[in-house]
Amino acid sequence: MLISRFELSVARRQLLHNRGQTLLTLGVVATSVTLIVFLATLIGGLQRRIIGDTTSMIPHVVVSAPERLPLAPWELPSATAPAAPLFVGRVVKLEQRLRKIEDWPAVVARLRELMPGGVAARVAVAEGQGVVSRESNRKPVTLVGAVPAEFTRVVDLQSNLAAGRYLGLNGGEAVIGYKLAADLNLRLGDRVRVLSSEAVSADFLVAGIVDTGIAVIDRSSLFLNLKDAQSLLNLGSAVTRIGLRLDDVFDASRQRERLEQYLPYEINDWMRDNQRVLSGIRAQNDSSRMIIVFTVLASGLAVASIMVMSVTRKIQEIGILKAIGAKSRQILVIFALQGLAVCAAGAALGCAVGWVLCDALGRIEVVVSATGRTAQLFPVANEPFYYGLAAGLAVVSGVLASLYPAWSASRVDPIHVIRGQ
Amino acid sequence: MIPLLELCSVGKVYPGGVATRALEEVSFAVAPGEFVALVGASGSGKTTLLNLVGLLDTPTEGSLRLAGRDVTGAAEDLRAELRRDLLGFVFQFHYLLPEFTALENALMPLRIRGTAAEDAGRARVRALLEKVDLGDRLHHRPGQLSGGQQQRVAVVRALANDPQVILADEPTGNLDSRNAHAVCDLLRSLTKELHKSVLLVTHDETIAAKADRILHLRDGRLVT
Repeated sequence: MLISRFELSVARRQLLHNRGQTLLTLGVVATSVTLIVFLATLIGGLQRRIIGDTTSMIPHVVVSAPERLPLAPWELPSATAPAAPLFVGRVVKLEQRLRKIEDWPAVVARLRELMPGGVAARVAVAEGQGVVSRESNRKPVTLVGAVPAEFTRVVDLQSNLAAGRYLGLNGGEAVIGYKLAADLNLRLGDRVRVLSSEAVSADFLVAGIVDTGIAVIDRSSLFLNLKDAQSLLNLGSAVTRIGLRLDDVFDASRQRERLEQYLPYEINDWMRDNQRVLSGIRAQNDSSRMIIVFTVLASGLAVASIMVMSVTRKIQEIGILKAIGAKSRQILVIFALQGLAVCAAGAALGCAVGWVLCDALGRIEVVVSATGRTAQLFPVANEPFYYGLAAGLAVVSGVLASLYPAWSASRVDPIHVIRGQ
Repeated sequence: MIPLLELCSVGKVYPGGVATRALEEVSFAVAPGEFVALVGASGSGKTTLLNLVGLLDTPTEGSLRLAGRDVTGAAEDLRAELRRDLLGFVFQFHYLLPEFTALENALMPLRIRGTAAEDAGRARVRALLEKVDLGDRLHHRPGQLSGGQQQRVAVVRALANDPQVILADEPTGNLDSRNAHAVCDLLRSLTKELHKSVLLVTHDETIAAKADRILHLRDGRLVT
């Protein structure tokens, strides 16, 4: 057997006998684990919040109709081709007309074929510009129409409601941002008039007020059901875009590149539109990794120096054990076991302290908007992965750090000890 | 009778800026059950010789046979095994492990050998401790025992693995006269009873007088 009663008993007794030193080592490891847990959960939580704030109110991938370009002369149908040569000097945008996806159910079906997995939800959206007015007040808004049950699976509107409802929104009802509501002095049940960019107008009942924390939505968005938006925007049965929510938010660029190969539509993803956010997250990741590496290194060195002290203090016992027949390997195992045991116990203690600390910090909430919406002051991601990471790093570094003292213990020459040198 | 321990022209030179010769042309043999005392002044090479015989060090000249086997150039692991299986040590200082009880300390050579050996030898070691009047101190830690009691535990530890040779390096040097003679008498009676060979290093002529034979070392050479 690799580890016998001899190694186990000597390792255990020495740890228990030298309580002060054992507790000191345990404290060093526990402190480093707590630090790593705190740092990792905080950075992880912070990143999750940034990603969440960035992506919760937008689809991860958006499919929209391509921008319409004038045809080149050689592309014109022969029946309508002019007799005289045409001068083509620059691309001119056509009049401001909404880019429509006419046969969107077929596009959704095609998307299902192309992306059999990895997509959490899809929604067809009719979106355009308009003006909302109440009495003499007028405000420009973005009109967003969709089937609420589908929309809220892609864009988290429902959980950001400050009042009223979005799911089950009927024809003639709308949900507005709380800042827009304040600007127009609107409350639930009030009526507003909406005039679209297509010069179609209609009255809507305010059925919900939303507080997303994103100013552009809270101040200038009006959410309708799909049919109302299609009517206001003269879309018929068409929509302007199809939004997708992915299971893995960071898979967006890959999925976009793939869809671009198969669909004749303009496709965007949140990662391409938020390069600065992503580079900030990458920098944060690099910084936290460096801090963790230095923490692990410091902890390992501390464990190593305490273990070296231990070996120095125990040198007589080591020498006598070798004199009466213990092999170098057995001595090495004794000290490696001590390193493993102390690091494992320290890691467990550090995880416990870290959990209590992170849990307490995660409960602190602060009000972040006028509607009374609260958010965590410390957005900790108190997840097992981070604890496993911290404990694993501490145990591995501790055991590695104890190997040198263990090795030097195994090299002790019993003669020197017996002579008292 | 084949000697249990046999040294043939053994020498030891410590290298260094100026090489130091600690032993030269030392030859002697110890028969089974024989109690031999090795006497000499400080610096005469007694401890060096004991370290060679105890396989804690290797000679630079000559040969060393233990239980009929040439162990002169044995590798470190083999020397550890031979120490564990054939030799028992008693040192000037008891060197008991403070974390273990008297019984556990005495059992330590068997525990090193393995769980089965420890379990098989437990009753015998317990009986030896009772024989040296430590039956009521089995579960006491070294710190709870007197100097004489500690050295008696060390004697039992040296006998625990049923060795063929006991090597004792000034085992009474740290004891008062009464305890010194008591421990020496104990060592002699136990080893005679168990038919063990003993090589005892001492500078005390009255202790040496209890041996069957006395070897004198002077400047690294046997003069007897």
